[in-house]
Amino acid sequence: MAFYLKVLEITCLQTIFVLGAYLMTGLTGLFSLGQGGFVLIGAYTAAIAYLKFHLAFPVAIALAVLVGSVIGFLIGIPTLRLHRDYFLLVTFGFGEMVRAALLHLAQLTGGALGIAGIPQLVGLPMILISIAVITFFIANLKRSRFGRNCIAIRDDELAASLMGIHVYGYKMKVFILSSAITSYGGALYAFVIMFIEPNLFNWLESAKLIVITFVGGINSITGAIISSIIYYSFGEFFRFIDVWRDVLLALSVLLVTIFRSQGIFGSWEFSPRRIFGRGTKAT
Amino acid sequence: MFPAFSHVDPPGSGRVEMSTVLQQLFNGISIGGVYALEAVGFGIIFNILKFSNFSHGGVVAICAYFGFFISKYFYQNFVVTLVITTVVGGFIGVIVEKLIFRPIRLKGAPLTLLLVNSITAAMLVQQFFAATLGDDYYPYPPMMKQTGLNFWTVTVSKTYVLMFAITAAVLILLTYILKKTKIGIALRAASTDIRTPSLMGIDIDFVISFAFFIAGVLGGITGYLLGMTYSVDPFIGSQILKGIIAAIIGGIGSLGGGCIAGLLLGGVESLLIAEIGASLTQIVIYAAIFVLLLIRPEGIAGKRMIAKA
Amino acid sequence: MDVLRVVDINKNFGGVTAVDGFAMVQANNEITGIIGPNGAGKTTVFNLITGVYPVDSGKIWFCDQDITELSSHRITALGIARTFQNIRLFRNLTVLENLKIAYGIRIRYTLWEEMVRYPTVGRSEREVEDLSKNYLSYFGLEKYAGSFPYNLPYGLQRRLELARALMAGPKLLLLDEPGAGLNPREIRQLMETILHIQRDNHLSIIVVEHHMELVMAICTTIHVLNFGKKIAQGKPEEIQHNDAVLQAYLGDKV
Repeated sequence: MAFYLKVLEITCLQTIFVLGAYLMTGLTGLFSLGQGGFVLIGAYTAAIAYLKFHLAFPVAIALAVLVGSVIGFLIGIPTLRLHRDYFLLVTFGFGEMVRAALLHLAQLTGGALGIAGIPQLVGLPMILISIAVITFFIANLKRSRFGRNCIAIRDDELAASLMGIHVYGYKMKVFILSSAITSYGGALYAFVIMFIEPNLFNWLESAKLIVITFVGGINSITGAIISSIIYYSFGEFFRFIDVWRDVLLALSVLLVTIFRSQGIFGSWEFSPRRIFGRGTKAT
Repeated sequence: MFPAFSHVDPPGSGRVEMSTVLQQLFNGISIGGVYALEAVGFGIIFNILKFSNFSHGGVVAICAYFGFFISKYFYQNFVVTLVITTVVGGFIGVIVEKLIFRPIRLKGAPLTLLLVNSITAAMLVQQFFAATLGDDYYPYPPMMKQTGLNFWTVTVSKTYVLMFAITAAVLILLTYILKKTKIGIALRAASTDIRTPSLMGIDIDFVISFAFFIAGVLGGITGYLLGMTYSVDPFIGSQILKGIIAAIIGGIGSLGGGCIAGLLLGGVESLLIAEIGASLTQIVIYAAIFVLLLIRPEGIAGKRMIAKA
Repeated sequence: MDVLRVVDINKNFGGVTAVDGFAMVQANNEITGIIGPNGAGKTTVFNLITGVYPVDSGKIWFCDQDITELSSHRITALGIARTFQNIRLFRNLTVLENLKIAYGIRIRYTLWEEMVRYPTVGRSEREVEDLSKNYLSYFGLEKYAGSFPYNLPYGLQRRLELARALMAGPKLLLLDEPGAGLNPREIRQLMETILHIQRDNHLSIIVVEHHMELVMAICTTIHVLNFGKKIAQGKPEEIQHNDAVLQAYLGDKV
């Protein structure tokens, strides 16, 4: 039973990361291979704040989110003006930089040995509530001006700016929000798996976030969440095919892109209004 | 003739032997040659199809493993294995194009989809090898006497000399193909406008396949050289990201720039590692790239892309 | 006060002079035309005015405000909207959402309010929705509200682009080849539409066009460009008989 609980906890945490990636990649079309960097920043900041500086647990988490957002802002300044492919590669560079920094600052971070003995202060209820709140925020953003502008930016940056959208400013907001969400998830992660090390989240994991978002349908939050849950729990429940899980993921994504390029869910969203028939909804 | 510094400096005094520096530099430039190959292999596809082809890493990985198996179980000869791996690389490149990119390209897929597919393909290859062959390192069997060649006071390993020689030869050959042969010119023309080759009477699909063939060949050589120097593991494909970085610094869009950037990157990295250690070097290099792109977003030799309304 | 004053703007692209010393003045409520052979620089002028490219030299004033150095989104917010030579609708937004986008600059709620769906947001959104639906009806597109733009017939896409530009609430509207690809009947509809919106919204409009009957019918002043330089300016009748213009279009043997 404890095993299944753990799996569920990790799956839900990964879903938080996917939500962060959805905001960046699905909604706004920014491809970042550096999300892993923010997971690590969040995890390490929270762990170090709690264990080494004896800050209260909520403070440690808040600090992790703050640090993640600030670093997101700083990284965003030079990178958000770049062409999409350059952005992809420098965010990869950022991710590598974070790992290298964590290895180098061994006094603080434990270097390659990581940090062990983090108490388990986060349980499933907290994670689920977090997902609910984050989804609430993102869904609200998606169906108001913010979401429309982001999709416009994704579709056609030039036309978007000529519609009065400050493209750079929006990208920065998205980047900071996404970093905050991902760092938050990372902070929780530390207190769930109780041991963190720099290789926890490399570029491949960041790439998986992008891929899962695509499979789920880049216009659908619901799709992203469902795909994430299926992928991450699937591998945990069927441990014996764990190594093949990624191969299966990759193959299915390739098949989906070839045969149904809007993703499995397309633009479909789970909407209480639609189910209970209360008024019309314009996406 | 460089005078040899014969006295020994106390540790931490900061004086490095000139010959050591030269040696590091030369090794670095040899690796830089491989980065240059990666940059060019990546850049060719980017110039024509305007997307970042991460599956190049997959091709490199497949060829690295292939080279390993051929040389371990069939024919332990440097040249023969290299040739086989190279040819295989070319064909894998073409297969990748036909299976993974052509179907969606023909359906008018946006570039982002090509990008996602290439990342997925790279992931597929890496995790496939991790699943089947495990995380172990597979060192290539020795294929030549590990002798050192002596230049002045510098002792250079034969492996590095060969690496440098091969990459130099390949790049020169490639330059010739791109500048003097019809298909090469069609390739370059397609970079400016994808419709040009058809005006030259050449089928654009053929040009694209050829581009992937060349990229695959380069990937094959890269895989072989990397495998030979460092041994093969599933993550070897990620190594090519170094080359992609070189491509950005050099300015995506300029193959020559990518080459120079690759050599520079190799040399600088090697010297830095000797001085400040591997992890700090990574930080310094990436930070420098950030700064460079902040000042000059198009890289050293790249062209500013102007949007047309 | 003139709506637009363009003084001596130049644009060079790597050795090719696209715009050479172009100048014009646009009064309020005027409909002006810019014509010229292909490649004359007409769209480039629009791109310079709307901040897509920076000018190499020269100045542009909009309602007495210097907009030469401003970025595109600021220029749009100040009151210049445009359509594009090649239709640039947002393919992943519905027809209705494409309209809502343009209204974004007039929406007042903040990011935090959006995230928690503060009541003001709901109210604003309903207002925007109603306004957008009104515009759709005005343009006869109401039954396409939930469709995606590139599923519409070409003529309707052009109309949608026009509607979207209007949603931004501009004082100056730049139309880049609005008649491209339309058949004669659609062109006549377009002429009436442009005259209507000009009247109903008290707009100033500049039209770049190749369809002469459209330009001659609705413009009060016409500027003619060739190789980036203005070669003639005047009322439609004057332009029709201008030697330089005829030569530019028909060649030396006139």
